[in-house]
Amino acid sequence: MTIAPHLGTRPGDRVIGRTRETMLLRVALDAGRHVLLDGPAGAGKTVLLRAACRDRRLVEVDAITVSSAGGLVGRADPLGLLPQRLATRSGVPARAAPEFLVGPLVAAMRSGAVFVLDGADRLSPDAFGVLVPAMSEGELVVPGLGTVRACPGFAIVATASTEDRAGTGAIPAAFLDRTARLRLDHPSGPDARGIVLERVPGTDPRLVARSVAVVRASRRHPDLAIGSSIRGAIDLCAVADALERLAPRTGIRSGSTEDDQRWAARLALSARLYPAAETTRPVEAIIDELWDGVLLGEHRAEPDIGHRLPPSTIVALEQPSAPASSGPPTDDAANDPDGDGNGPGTDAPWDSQTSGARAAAGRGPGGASMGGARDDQQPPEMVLRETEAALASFVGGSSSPGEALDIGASPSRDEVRRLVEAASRVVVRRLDGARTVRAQGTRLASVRYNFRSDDLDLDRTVEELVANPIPAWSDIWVRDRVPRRRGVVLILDVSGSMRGEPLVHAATAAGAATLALAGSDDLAVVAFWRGTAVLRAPGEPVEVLPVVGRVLALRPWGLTDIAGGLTRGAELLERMPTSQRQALVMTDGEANTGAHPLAVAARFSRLDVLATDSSPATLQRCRALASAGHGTCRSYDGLGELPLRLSELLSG
Amino acid sequence: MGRFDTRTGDALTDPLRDDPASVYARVAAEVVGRDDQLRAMLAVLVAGRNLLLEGPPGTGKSTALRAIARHGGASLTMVEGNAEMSPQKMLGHHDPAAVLQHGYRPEDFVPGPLPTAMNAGGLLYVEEFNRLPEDTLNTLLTAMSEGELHVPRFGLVAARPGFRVVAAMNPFDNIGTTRVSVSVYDRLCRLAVGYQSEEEETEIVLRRTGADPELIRTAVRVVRRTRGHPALRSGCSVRGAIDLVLLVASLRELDGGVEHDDDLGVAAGLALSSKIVVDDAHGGTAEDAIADILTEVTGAQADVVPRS
Repeated sequence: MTIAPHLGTRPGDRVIGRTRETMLLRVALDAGRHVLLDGPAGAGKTVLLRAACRDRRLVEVDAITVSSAGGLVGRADPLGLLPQRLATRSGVPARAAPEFLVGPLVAAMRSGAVFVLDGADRLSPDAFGVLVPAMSEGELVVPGLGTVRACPGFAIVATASTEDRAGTGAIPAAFLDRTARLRLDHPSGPDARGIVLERVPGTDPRLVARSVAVVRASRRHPDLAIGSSIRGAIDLCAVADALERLAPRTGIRSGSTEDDQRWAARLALSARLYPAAETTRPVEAIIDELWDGVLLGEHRAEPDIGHRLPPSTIVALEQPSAPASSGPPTDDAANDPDGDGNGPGTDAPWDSQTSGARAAAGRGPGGASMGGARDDQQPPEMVLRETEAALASFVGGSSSPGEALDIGASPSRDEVRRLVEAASRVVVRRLDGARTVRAQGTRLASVRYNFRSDDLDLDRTVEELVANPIPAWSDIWVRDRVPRRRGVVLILDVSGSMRGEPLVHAATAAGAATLALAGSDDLAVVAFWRGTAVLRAPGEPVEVLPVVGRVLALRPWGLTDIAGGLTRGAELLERMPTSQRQALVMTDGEANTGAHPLAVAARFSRLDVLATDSSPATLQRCRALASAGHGTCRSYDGLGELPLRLSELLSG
Repeated sequence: MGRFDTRTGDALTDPLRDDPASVYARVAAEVVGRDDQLRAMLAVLVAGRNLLLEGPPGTGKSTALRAIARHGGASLTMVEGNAEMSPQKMLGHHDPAAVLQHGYRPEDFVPGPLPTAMNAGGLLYVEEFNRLPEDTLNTLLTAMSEGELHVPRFGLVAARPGFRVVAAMNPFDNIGTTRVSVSVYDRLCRLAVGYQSEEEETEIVLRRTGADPELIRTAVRVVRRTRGHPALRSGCSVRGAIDLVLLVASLRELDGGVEHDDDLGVAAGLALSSKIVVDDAHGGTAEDAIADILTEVTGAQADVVPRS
């Protein structure tokens, strides 16, 4: 049995409407472009694609069935490689030359077919590694097979729903950079009615219209984060039909068609609708409201909105938001003459979003390094002094004599730098004993046999046997649990309310998180006030001390834009190549500028909140933020307890 | 095992679709109460859709589904969702010894629960659905929407008519669960299943234990009070009442039929404390909460910890 790519179109797929999108896709393929079809679940990506490629050869692959690069390019038949003696012992005559089992990607390149990758956001990172050279060079070097050249007509069409964050990983920028993106939204009203009628033939056209209207309304309802796709309308009609065919309910009530249709709406839609975070009503109540709205709407002359789709265009994707100002922070840190990765006297080694971020950079008396910052965003001298005085007293209050620094009313640049370094060392010393935490749960992966799991991974074991005919126990591959790698972003409030002593707390949090997640998880650190700054970018290898120093070099000041900070954190999370993502914000929860934070918090799959004080008002705000972000809220009692509370949140 | 037939040529009928009304009548006669829910479950299955049953444990989800499968003539393949349920276990594997002998041959494929249910045209019942790892959930996608499944090194498995996925989960279960993705939800019809009514629960406990009706009524009231109690984050199902009644009976038996005042309290501590979850914010232990509830229901001061 060879790997059998699914060839050709399937019968019964007919696209309804979508003439413009079909045309655009055909044009892009004619022009030799690779295409990413991006749209919500159930928008009809697969159907459209099959229709547009009617006259082309297709090689379709479902990304979830591809676990490694070998699943795309193919592999030498391991059994053919088994050496003579093992083969004779097992009664198989040894083959002269090992047979190469061609994978779907190589098959598509050789035949000039369109390679269809369904659910590209679910493809393993390893497999993307072979897609990219095939896309840009049209050429692929396959060990054991040689160079494979793409024949004319070869193109890759990938489908993905980039909004769907659960169960999907990030698509690498290198892949996005080589594709044209065709955005596919839900079908228009008339198209949707046609599709439903085709899938559930014989349905009363009035019910079809109602079911389409209700799913379309669900996508606009303020209490819903995610509405239903057309599959909801199809299921609604099918279930309503089945309810009618069942006998009326036993008991005194007898089912009427209207009641049954409402029941069908609840059954078909309630799994598909995601209530928004701040919604307390059960989803059934929202469905009832939507359904009532549809029934009411029938009495009004509803002008059909028609083709509500945003004009779909083919545009090459630009690079995802990369640090604009100073490049990857690692570079700057490496070139830092101070040697500690950060000197408050130098330009901030992190990117910043607004000119206000200059407040985060080091500064000298008289604001020598503040050139270019807008005046209204500059903190007054007094504010800076207040934090520096707090740092000095923090260092002075620590148990080590000799590090106490006396700063005058107007410290020099150098004095400030030494103050920050001293304070950083104290913070790090006090972190002693911070617990290392691991992501909750584990994932299954192929590992060498270690006397634990006996769940044999046959494919890899056979490959191992080829290389080593007299296997040891460690040449057996099994599927076993390995720790899960997480992406974590720590979001620190450094607005005006954090000036003085609280900044030390923020720095402690950054240090404790770095220690706690060292070696196991990816950590990013963001600070926000009315602007934002990335103190540690995802993947940046930074020690504890510089991270703490970067926080202490900040001078808290100004208004609080929690939503802005959360948005920045969410962006960083999305750049992390993990499927498990978690955010932690340290704040007093009081936002006085920017968007409402609760709506942004709801975007996170998990946002925990560390409240900076325990007053009832703060706790109330922070709890609301945490519950919107599907996380928990903790407060801490003094600096000594902070690392413990933080690791509790990080360990879930 | 070893032989696995994926031909779809033979015209198998879908028994559930043939005569839904009589299946409904027979199931309703067997299950206590639950008229509307049974009708809804059947409607989704008759319509050939995939079903998600959402509700706390012990609300009769499995009981109802088993009755539907039996009376509807559909096969039922059960899968318990947990973190160990890898995609390979869901799909199936090749017999290792045979692979070393002959290479990968279709006849050496040992199908997992998903291809088995597809091939039988039956129901695949996945309990604790939200405990399945993400990649295992993903294997269900094409099977649910297109009735097709690609198994690496085996080929394409096509579902016979009658194949449906029924998923069950407890939405309030936060420990060890994964967030189910939109793509999966987009292929499911959902039915929220709540607790039975007081009369129905009394009837269920009576059928299971046959004990003193007065004791059963007290047990059911205690158990119902655990749900929505301010000190508790989640209460227990009718299983708690069954255990409570059985424990009281056996405590009395141990003492030769002599009744003690604290029998109910001790039995409640044993039967219920593992089934309820205390709200951290409220403080207090599970035993405190149970003692409060007993006092409230019986009117007498209750001791949950046995007197020494």
